[in-house]
Amino acid sequence: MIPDVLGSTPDMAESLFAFLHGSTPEKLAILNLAGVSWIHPYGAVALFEVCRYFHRLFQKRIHLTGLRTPIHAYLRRIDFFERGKDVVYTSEPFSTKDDMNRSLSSSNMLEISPICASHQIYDVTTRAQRILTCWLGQTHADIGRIVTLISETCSNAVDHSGDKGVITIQKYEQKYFTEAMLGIGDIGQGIQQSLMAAHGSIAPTCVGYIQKALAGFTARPNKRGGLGLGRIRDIAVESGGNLYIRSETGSVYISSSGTIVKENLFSFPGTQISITFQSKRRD
Amino acid sequence: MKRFEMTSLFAKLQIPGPNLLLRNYGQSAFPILEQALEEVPPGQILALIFAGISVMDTSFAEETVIELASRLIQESYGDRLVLLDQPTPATIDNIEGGIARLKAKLALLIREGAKMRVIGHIEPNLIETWHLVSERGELTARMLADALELEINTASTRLHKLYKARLLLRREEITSEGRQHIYALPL
Repeated sequence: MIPDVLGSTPDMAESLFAFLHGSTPEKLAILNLAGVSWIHPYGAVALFEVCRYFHRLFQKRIHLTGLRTPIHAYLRRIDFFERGKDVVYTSEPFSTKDDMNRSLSSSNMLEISPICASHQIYDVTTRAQRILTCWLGQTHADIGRIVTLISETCSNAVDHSGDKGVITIQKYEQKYFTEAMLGIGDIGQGIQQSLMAAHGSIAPTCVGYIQKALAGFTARPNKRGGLGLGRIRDIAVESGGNLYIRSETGSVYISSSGTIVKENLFSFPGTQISITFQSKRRD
Repeated sequence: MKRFEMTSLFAKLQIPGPNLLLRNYGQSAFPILEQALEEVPPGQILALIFAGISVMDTSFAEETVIELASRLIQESYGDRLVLLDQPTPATIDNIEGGIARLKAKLALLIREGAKMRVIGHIEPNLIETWHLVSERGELTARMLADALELEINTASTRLHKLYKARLLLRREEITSEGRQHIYALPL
C-alpha cells in the first residue's frame, strides 16, 4: 500500500519511488492508494510518471485500487485516467455525483496536460494564464511571472528530456496569500545525461548536475539560456515559494530559508519538479 | 521612427496570443524583426510596440530583442536604434533576467508611459550621463563636461560609449567652433 505521501512535501514522495524498487512487477501492477488522503500536483505527476515508467518496462498498465472517493474524484478531475489511459486504470466504483466542478470560474486546477511540442506548451500556458487571472485577479506581474515559470519549465522538459512531459497546477487559498503549485515531470534522460552530452563530466553526482543547471549550464547547441532553472528558482523563491528538482538519484530543494540537497535517492529516470509560487491576497 | 507591432507576430508564428513564448518561436520571429530593423533609415529608430503582449518569456526574449541588441552593438545594422515601447513588467523582468543570465554587457531602451529608461547592463557613470541627456534633451561633450565637471575627453568617451551601445542618437554639426557631435535620445 502506498503511504500517504502524495500530498506532502515533494521529498516525501520518495516512498513512491522506493516502492518501485522493493516490489516485483506483479505486485507493482496493483497500487493500493487506500492510505492516500491528499494529492498535491507533484504527487500526481510522480504517480503518473511511475505508471508511465512501469508501462515502459513491462508493457502493462498499473491498476490503482483502494481509492478514497475524494482522491478518486480529484484524479478524475485532473484527467489522470483520461491522459493516462494507456498506462493506468482503476476499476473502483465511482458515482458521477461525486465528480468535482469543472467551471473555469470555480476551478482550482489545471488538469494534467501533456507537453511534448511547442504548441502544447503554448496552449497549456495560455489556459493556465486564464485560470490564474480568475484565481489572482489582475495582479498582473504575478501572473506574468507564473506564465514565465510554466513556459520555461515546460520547454526544458521538451527540449532536454528526450521524452514527453506532463504538467498540472493547483491553487490553494491560505490565510494571507494564494499558492499556486505546479508539478511537472518526465521520464526522459535526466539533467545529468543532458548536460554530460553537451559538456562531458562536469560534476561528480546527480545533485552536482542539478546545481550546474541552476547555475546556467545548458545542453542547448547554441549555449543559450541554460535550462532556465535559475530563472524559475528566482521567480518562485522571490515570491516566498520554493523549487524542488528531482533528477535520477539526486534532488535539490530551494526556498528562502536555504537549499537542501539529497543524494543516493532511489533511481528514477527523468526529471520531476515541484514549484510553489505565492501571491499575496488583496482582501 | 518606424513602428513594429509585436502582436503582428501572432499570425506570422501561428500562435493565438497574447504571449510571446518559447525559444523556437523566438528563433522564427527573429528574421522578421531583423528585416523590420534593416528597413529603418540610418540614424533612426525601430519602435517595437508591445501593446497587446501580455508576457514575453526569457527564452523568446533571448532569441529576439536581446539578440537584436547584441547584433546592434556589434554594428551589424549600422546607425540604428531599437526602442521597446510599453512592455509589461513581467516582460521587462524576463528581458533583464535574460541579459543577466547570458552575462551580456548590453542594454536596451524602453518606454514606460511617457518616460524612457534603460534596462540591462550599463555602467553607473554611463547611466548618469544618459539621464542627463534625457533631462536636457541633447548634449555635446562640452556641455556634459561642464555639467559634471569632467575632462572633455572623459565626457566625449562617455557619450561615444552610449552611442555605440545604441542608447543615444548622434548627429554632426558644423559650427563656427568646428565640427561637433550632438547626442540625443530618440523622440
